Amino acid sequence: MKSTLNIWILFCLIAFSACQRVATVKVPQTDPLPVMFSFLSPESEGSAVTLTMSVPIFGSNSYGNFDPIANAQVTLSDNNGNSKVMPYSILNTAYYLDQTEFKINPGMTYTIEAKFKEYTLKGTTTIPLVMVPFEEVIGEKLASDPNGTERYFLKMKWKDQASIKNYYRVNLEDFKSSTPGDTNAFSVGDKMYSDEGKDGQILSDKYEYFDYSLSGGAPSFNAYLLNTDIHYYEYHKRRLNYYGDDPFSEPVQQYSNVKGGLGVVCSYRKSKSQVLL
Amino acid sequence: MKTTKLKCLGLLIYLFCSLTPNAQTSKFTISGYIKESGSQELLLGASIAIPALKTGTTSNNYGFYSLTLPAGKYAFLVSYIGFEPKAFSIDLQKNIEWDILLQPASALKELVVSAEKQQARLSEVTRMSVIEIPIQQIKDIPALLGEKDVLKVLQLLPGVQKGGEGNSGIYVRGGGPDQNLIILDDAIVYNAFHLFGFFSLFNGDALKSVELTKGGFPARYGGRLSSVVEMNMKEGNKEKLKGEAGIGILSSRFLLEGPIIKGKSSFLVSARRTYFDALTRPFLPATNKAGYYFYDLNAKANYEINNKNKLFLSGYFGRDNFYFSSKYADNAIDKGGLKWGNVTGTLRWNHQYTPQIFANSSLVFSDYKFQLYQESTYNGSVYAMRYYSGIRDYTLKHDIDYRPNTNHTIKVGAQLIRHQFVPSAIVVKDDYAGTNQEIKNTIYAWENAIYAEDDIKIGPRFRLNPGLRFSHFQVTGKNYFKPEPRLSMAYKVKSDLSIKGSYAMMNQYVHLISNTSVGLPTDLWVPSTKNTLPQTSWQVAGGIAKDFIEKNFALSLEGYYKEGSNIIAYKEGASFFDTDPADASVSGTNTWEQNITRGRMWSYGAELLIQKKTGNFTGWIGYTLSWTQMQFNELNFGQKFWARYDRRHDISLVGIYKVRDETASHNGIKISGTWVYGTGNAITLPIAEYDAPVHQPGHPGSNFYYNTASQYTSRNQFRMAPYHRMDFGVQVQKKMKHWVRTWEFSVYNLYNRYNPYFYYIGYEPNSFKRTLMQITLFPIVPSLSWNIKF
Repeated sequence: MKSTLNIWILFCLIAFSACQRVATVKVPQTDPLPVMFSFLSPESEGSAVTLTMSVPIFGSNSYGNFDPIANAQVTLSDNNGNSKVMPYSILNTAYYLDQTEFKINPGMTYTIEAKFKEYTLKGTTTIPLVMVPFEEVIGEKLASDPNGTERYFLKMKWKDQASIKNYYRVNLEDFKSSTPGDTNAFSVGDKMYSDEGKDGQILSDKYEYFDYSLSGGAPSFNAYLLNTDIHYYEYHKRRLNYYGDDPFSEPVQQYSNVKGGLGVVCSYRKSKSQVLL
Repeated sequence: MKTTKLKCLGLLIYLFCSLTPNAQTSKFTISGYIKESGSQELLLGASIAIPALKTGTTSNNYGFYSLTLPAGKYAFLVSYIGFEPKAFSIDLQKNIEWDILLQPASALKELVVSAEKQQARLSEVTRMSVIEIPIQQIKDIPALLGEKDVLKVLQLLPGVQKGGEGNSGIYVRGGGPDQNLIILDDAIVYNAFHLFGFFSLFNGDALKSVELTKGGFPARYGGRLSSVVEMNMKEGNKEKLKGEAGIGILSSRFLLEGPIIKGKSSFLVSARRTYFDALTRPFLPATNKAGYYFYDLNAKANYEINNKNKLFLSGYFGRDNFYFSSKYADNAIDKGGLKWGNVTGTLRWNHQYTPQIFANSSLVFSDYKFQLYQESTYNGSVYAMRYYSGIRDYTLKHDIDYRPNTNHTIKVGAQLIRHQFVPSAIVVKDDYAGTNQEIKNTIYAWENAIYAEDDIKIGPRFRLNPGLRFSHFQVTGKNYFKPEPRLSMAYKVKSDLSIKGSYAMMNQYVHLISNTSVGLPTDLWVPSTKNTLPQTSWQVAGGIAKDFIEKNFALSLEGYYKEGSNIIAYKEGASFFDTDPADASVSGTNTWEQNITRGRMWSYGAELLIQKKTGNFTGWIGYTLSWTQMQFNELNFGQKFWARYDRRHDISLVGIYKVRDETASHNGIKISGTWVYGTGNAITLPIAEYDAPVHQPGHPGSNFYYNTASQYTSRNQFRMAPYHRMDFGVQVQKKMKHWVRTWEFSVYNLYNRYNPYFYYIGYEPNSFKRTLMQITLFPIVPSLSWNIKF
């Protein structure tokens, strides 16, 4: 269905390519802004913060190059008064603290502050208290066609934590690896949920997966259920629906909770199930 | 206080006495139908005046008129735009049925207009914010690719904006395209557009009248917030067979009308189809076909049972089809496409209970559906997927028109509409998997209403039209009951000048949700539910109406203020593509409801219209100054923003000049031109880019997938370049032996203005620096068409 719009855009561009020209209106100018991202979780090995600068579009010949800012002072602190400066890690291309150096605990509120040049950025998040696991994850093979394409159907369900506002992300990866780890796993499904109108109830999700690889052997899937804070939810809800700028759809402002710039500081709890077919 | 009470009591007694027929002296009624001589087409809104009494009435939507007067001798004057006025005298000593036949006006001379010979003057009509466009003007105004388009002509009127270049959608006094009630012979038309909004469905050949109401809505109208576009089809010539045909660049059309039983029954059939696909098909490779076409068909038949009973049956059937097919092996074919269309059918019964009471009952069917389909066949096995959405209505209406005397025109009525909404449905047939399933999300609802209104004359100067509509909507266990008060007033300062005011409260239970600005057929029609409240609005308007009788034109100047609440829009990041019916069937919810949010709207402005409807030169000048803002808690971070179609200034100049009529010795020539200007649309523009990663739960550390996202201006903060364009047309008519032939040459966008259709980010010429680029959809576009009329 998205292809209908793309067909129309392509039709316009081809049919009326003779009618394209530089616009005769004064375009808005803006200054670069600092951008900060961090996704905190008790289940991750450490806490990472990335810093870059936005690039104004008009009059710029820069495209897609966002060099990391490596000389900022970045501080991670909690609501108990503990804080620590985060050193820049070339390996992680981010400011990084291992969990052994600064633990991320469920239910706590964390603030990240970054200072460089004339910029000061600040973002706050409260870690969700509970990790919510899947109650059931089922995968089944539906069919194969003469071309070798195989179809699978996966469904999963979980129980919402009652009396608390919850947000979830279901992320599905497939991998075929004979070695440990997820190094060649690819995301094949992603959805955001809130418990609006379904507090305390069973929530569910499903995916249909087509395997064109012809390599033989069934794929395996990692299914992640993330219980997130509102900032993670609001950011990814827009981000996962962002397909680039399409002149016929209303542009979506990306979510930000960073004061002094763009980006998001957010948190999640993660549970994982594997489906081996 | 006592004096005030006495005055109110006196007014009530006066109104009661004026309502009661035969209250004092013997009164009798002259009634009947006003028709065109020859064809016997009923004439709607024709004026019947009694100049000596400075009173009169107008014919209703079925050509019926009724005047109740004390016994006596009266001179009547009947007039209607485009027809010769008719004067006659009657000695009214009993009830008389008198059908009046009017001759089309001779076109060789200007109509001589005097204070006595006058069509219904703008200053004498209670209603305001209503504009009627003569059908002939719609056919004369130059159009894109020569395709005459009713809705595009409405866009030339003050208070009506268009969505974008070439788009037929109308935005009336700040309202969106779903807030217009478009009626064709009592049937609601849901998606009134062909070719992604570039052309409307309505074939001007088959139409008799088009009337746009922007405010001051009488109580008989409801269900939409912003406007009513009421169109009536012709009945068909009851005397002889006539027809028209035309060949244009985009489509060809024909119309045939004639008697079934002479003088009693007639039919009309009109059809149109594009043929570009048929012409190009032979040149496409046999294994790959693609194309687009649209067609529509209007048909009507009517039968006059007797003087008091008439039956009408009319229908519309139209389709758009975008298709492709590809044969990539002997045993393998892929095909697919997008198609959409409307079907309407109306059965009406006119019945005259008494000389003063006229009634119409209508049974109406209306259906709109669009479908996206794809089918792959391999070795005889089929995989087919069909996604569709639509709305279907069954309507029963009964309207009564009661004219007890010359001071009152009372209308009462009721309607029942059974809606069937299918916001989304999917059918999958898969021979490989052995599946054949349909998942459909269907919602049934009732939309009902009763109303009463009265057009009251109080003394020689004051007219009042109070009304009350009571609407009801029932869906899945939820009921909404909404009273909708209405009021229009007119005070005649002088014989040709009046001051008018109006108030209207409106409710809308059926919504169109769209994430695009081009009005794609993928826009969804959905109902109010227990979670999605009805949209409501109230509007006040005031203005003056002046008739320049000697010069034969009218001027109206109006100001309005409108507020709307529970206006719906997609949430940020959501779109039509999220409405998976499979989700609905699993979760039991309407997924589209989760993707929409509601907010408020304010619109205010002033409109000037100077219109000349008769004579060798006709046309109008329209100017609108307006503001439209919206506010949604979940959009633009809760801040107010301009509506996309908020257009500060809007100007239209329309002129049609008949140089001469066709005769046996020389051609008839008519030239026409339009010029439009509008402030640019308000859009949201990207101004910067930044790294916005998507968190990958399965990847440790900071190995995020990096993606570029855009930073934007505030919603709709950027103004596109102003839009302006001139169109020009020439019609040359020649009287042939059996028909009148017309060549029409027209030019759209005469001075080749590069109006932006949309913007995108591109590169400056010979540079890597990025800049804003624009695409223009229609530069100068000439067209030629050939038409005959017999």
